[in-house]
Amino acid sequence: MKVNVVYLTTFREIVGRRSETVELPDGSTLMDLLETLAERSQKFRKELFNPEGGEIRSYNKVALNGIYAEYLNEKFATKLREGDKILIAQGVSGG
Amino acid sequence: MAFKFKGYGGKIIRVDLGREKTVSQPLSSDMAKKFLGGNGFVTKILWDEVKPGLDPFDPENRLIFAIGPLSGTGWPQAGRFEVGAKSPLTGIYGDASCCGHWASELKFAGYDAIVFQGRASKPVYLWVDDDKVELKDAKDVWGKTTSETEKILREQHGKDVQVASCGPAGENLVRFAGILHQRRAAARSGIGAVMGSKKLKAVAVHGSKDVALADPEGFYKFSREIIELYKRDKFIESRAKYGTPILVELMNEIARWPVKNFQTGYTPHAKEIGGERIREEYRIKDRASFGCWARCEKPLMVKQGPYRRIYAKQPEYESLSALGARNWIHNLDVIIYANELCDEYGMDTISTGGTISWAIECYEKGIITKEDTGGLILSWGNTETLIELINKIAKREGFGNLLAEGSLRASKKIGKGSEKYVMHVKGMEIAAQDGRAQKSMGLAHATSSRGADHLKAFPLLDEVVMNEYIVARYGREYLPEMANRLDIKHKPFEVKDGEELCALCDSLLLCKSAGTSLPLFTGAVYYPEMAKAVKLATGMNIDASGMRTIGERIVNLQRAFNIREGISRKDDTLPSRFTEEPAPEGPPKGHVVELEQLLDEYYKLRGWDKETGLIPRKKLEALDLKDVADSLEAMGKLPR
Ligand code: SF4
Repeated sequence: MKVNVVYLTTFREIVGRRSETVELPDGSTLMDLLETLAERSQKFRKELFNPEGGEIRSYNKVALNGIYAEYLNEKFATKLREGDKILIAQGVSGG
Repeated sequence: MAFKFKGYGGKIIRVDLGREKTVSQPLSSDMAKKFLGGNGFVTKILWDEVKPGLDPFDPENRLIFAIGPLSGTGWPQAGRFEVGAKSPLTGIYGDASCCGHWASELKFAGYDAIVFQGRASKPVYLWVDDDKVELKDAKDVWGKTTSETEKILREQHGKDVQVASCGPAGENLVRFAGILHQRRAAARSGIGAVMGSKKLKAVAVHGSKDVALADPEGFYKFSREIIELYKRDKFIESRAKYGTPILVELMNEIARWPVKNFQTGYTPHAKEIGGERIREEYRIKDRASFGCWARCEKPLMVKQGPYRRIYAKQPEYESLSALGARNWIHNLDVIIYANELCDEYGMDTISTGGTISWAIECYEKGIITKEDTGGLILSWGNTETLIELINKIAKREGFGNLLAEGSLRASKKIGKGSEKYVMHVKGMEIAAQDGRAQKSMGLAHATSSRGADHLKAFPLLDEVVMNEYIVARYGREYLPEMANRLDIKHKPFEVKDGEELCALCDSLLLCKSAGTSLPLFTGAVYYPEMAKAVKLATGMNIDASGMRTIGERIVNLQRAFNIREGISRKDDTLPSRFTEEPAPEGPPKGHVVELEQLLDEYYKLRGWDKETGLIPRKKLEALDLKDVADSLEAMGKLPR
């Protein structure tokens, strides 16, 4: 299955591009995607996750098709589908 | 009586432009204790001195510049000044604020406010050099753009002089003209037009005095602690890197980004004008205001093409919306140029772009025709027309003369159902938040004292799910609903509480600009910290709940001012596009703003009358505003 990932702020700088298509095994969850991305770069992992406990840092925001992960029924365990759009941003709000 | 607190300059300047008189008076200690400064002073003076029903262009309108007890002290993000008047755009309470170095300079000169009344017989500017206060002939700067004015006055008076001025738009009484300083704008409410109507071109200030603090050691120790917190804040870090344009792509993804006069909240083109692209391709360096750690101003360079510029200002998120996507324009070179034009003429970009997009939609629907526009063809994405209209509005030429009245007045002249497409509240064009995609913003626009506005309540806790901050400030019981921007639960509480906090920030002149205000929302800098900072600076003993009361007092007095002008519940409204037309796409698809439900709850929390939106005597007296209750009663404007 292929999903589209859009990076904002710090994450765009780390990854070096605005967006990309990522291929994942069918049945992968949102957290599986984040783990796959973090596997590619220690810096990405450090910025995204709390060092202890592996949770996403509270100032980072991940949205699936415009809905923040906190508001998905299954949160980060939500299963992804072909063509989903995932946004990853750090410390942006206020306007 | 002499002023008794430290931290303040302790004096205000009164200028009667008609009589060409200036006097310096002691600041009232009682006013400082009850209203602190900034918009608190503006509100109190407007209430006391501007009679109901007065035409905002009447010489008897007041134009008030005010700073606060933390101005010039180096307290982080306290570099703003506030300007207020009865607004010529809305006919009600009007204000706007601006950062830079003007506020600290006024404090160094030893003043807390300047109040203008009357109208000069010929163009003048005010020159304040410590104790010397003079009205001077403005013949060298009248007709000049805002940056030319600053340059000329700095050449005349010295490079350390700080200048706030209105541009040609203010001189021409464009109803949404602003006041500029160092390319930053006190943009909203048409205060620049009030300045122009008084034939006051600029206020130039130089000061050389120290700011005396009640407990300097304690104050600097505490401010260093707060600065350390700010430096670690991720929201400030991203704001420092990108400025407000970083919001463009994010707000587009949640479909809250106004496109084509709010017809929808999403466009595939947002990335072409977002903060990341600007940083990569245009930015030269970072700049900030006095004492600011977020440095959100980013001078840019447009390297080539017809709009090539060596040193241009980065358009804010709001301007990228108003001059860009709202008019279906995604050419950054053009938006940067249009933004510069608005700044040089001294015009609010939000109202400029909002009014133009209203006209385009009406043209698209056949309501406005070539006969109205003097032959101009209006269409979405037409960059040349955008630039031409900005020029025409500022000069009040042709069709621009109609648009210079603002979209609501213009629609009343055009008629034919054009009113339906005016995206305004109380005559003020709505900023870049589609309330259907964030219900708290919908309510905030409806209740704001200066007409449609996001900054009077600045409800951010639901914008991108601020769970942690909600728990820190209010407790776990507000989750999950408060953090959900499409759920109306707790939103009236969020807006009411935000209005009081923002009124307090505006009285202390703390910058709320997006990310920089977020530490306020973590509980790191909240009422207790503001109380402590004010005590260390001034010696005034106001505790955290006293601070909150000041915020609430200011909100209620602004409402009382508006009630006196005829405002009631019927005016706390939104365009039917937000209340009747469901959002067409993205996460808010199918949503409208459930305004009546939100308002019922909001008035209840405020202690205002639910039917009328008027303020009961009991509420006013609890806020030490008995005299206000008495005068509203005499006018029959207390609830029955
Ligand atoms: S954050 Fe930006 S708007 Fe606020 S004071 Fe700093 S430079 Fe000015």
